[in-house]
Amino acid sequence: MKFILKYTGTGNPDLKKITEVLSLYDIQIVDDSLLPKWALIRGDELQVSKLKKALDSEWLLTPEMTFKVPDTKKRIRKS
Amino acid sequence: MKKPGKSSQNFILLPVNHAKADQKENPKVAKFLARLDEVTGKSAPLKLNVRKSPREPEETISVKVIDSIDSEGAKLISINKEELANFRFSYPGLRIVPEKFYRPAILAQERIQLQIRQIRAKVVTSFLVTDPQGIGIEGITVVVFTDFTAGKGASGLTNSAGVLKLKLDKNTAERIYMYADDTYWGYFKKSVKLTSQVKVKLNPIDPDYTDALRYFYDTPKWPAITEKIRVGIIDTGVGPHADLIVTGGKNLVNGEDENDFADNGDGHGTHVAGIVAASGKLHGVAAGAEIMSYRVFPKGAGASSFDIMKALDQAIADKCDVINMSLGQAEDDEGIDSYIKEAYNAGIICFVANGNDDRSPVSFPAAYSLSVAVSAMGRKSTFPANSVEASTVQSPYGTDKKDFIADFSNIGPETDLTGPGVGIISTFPNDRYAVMNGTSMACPAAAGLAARILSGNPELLNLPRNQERADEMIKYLAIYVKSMGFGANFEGKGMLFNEP
Repeated sequence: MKFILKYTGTGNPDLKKITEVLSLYDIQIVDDSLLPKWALIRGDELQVSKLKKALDSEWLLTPEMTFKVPDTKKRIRKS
Repeated sequence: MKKPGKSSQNFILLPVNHAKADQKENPKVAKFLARLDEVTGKSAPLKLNVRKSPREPEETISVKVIDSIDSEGAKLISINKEELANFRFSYPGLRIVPEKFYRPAILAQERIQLQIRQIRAKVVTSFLVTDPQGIGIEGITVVVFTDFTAGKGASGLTNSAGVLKLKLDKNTAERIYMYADDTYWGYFKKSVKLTSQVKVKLNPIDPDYTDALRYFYDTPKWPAITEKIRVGIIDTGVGPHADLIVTGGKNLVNGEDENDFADNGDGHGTHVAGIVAASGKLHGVAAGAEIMSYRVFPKGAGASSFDIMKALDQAIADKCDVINMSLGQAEDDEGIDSYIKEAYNAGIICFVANGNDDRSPVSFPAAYSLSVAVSAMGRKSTFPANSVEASTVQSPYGTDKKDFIADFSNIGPETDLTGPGVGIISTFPNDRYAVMNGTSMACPAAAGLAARILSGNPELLNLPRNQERADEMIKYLAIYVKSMGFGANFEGKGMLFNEP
């Protein structure tokens, strides 16, 4: 599963410290292009829930959402 | 003048960036919130000036200030829902959030969502779909409903001979829909007797046809924009198409080539871009505007919220003036909202499609208060009688009874504008043309027209890139909005036109 990690504190976060915490729970950084404020991470659901408890209050974790290409086609309901 | 009353709703007003307005950052917003603070709790409503329609003097709307946190902080107000869009366009630079009430988190009982029914085949029907010369068309999606309300029936794609065989449980179809990806209009018919073969001829698309977009906007006669204005398209990618020039862009899909920002093959982004800036056989509403393509949809898969955040970040860095986001979903996403706010703070307006969930509440991020949320309208006689578009006609009708809000369009008080979104002809990859329906099409019609209008005011575009620039752009656009008579819940303030 992929999650978005957000830094909500003031100033710049301690990236070395957060990288160490992530590796402790076997969480990979998938996309670091919006660091230091945001990062896309991937990990096992159980590990991510453990990470949530271990993170300082200035870090927030939310699930990555996906958006479909919009259309207006009618579809048969699957039973 | 409408007073807050039965149709009034409570909303929370917040400055764009913080919980309290900054005098230095935005003195106008700070002054306005302080003014509201002075009348907090008073029984007589505050009268605020708004301009409801162009060439008319300012009118007043009533706002009751119920509560306040600090002089220049958040305000709880009551306002007539019909006036919300007017308020938003007259007093930009504020987040307007509906007041919510929370309940204890008690687990709800599980309910059966759908009764499972077995379909027993009663008839086998062969559908033959051809062009006007009788040549079979491959790849047409045929959807046959025997019970439309229950969503019961069968569907599939035609083969190379234009044929699809379907097993159905009744010998009458309540509704038949046929969808072509490009080149042809779709087909719609009610109450069809299902014999062993049903033949359907599809109408080819004529780029000179007066669709809803060209009915309201005579784009072939409009001159190309000469002032520099940049529109970012966050979508499936754009082009290639002979009618489109893509200035630049980036593929933000994780793991894909960042320089490949052409369409991923779906065609949605190319259609959206054509509505804005096509120039060739077809003309968009803002031909001459610079198009930046930010690809966030991988081929055949959903776009990641993180990639959309990256696209917004890139559009800000590339100094876009307007961003088009023809995408959305039911749940809010804090990350995307944050970047729309970043864009607003950089003097950029984000136009976002309301969503196509059959009159459901406005999707996110359109419902986010700093987005310009766009619903879809249509007009009778701007599409062939037996086309799919005929099935989208539904009330409310406008001041002109031929105009209607599309049955699929999401609606609600967050709606800011409406735009033509039924039976829109635009560009499709590899020099083809396609007809598409959706708030996805209404959104670039509004965004493109905004680009055309703003290009006529270089002084405004030359303002420093900050929140005040976005505020002033919104106020300037408000002069060009006309009500179509659908009501604020369906059209917000109304539709943009190129003359005040």
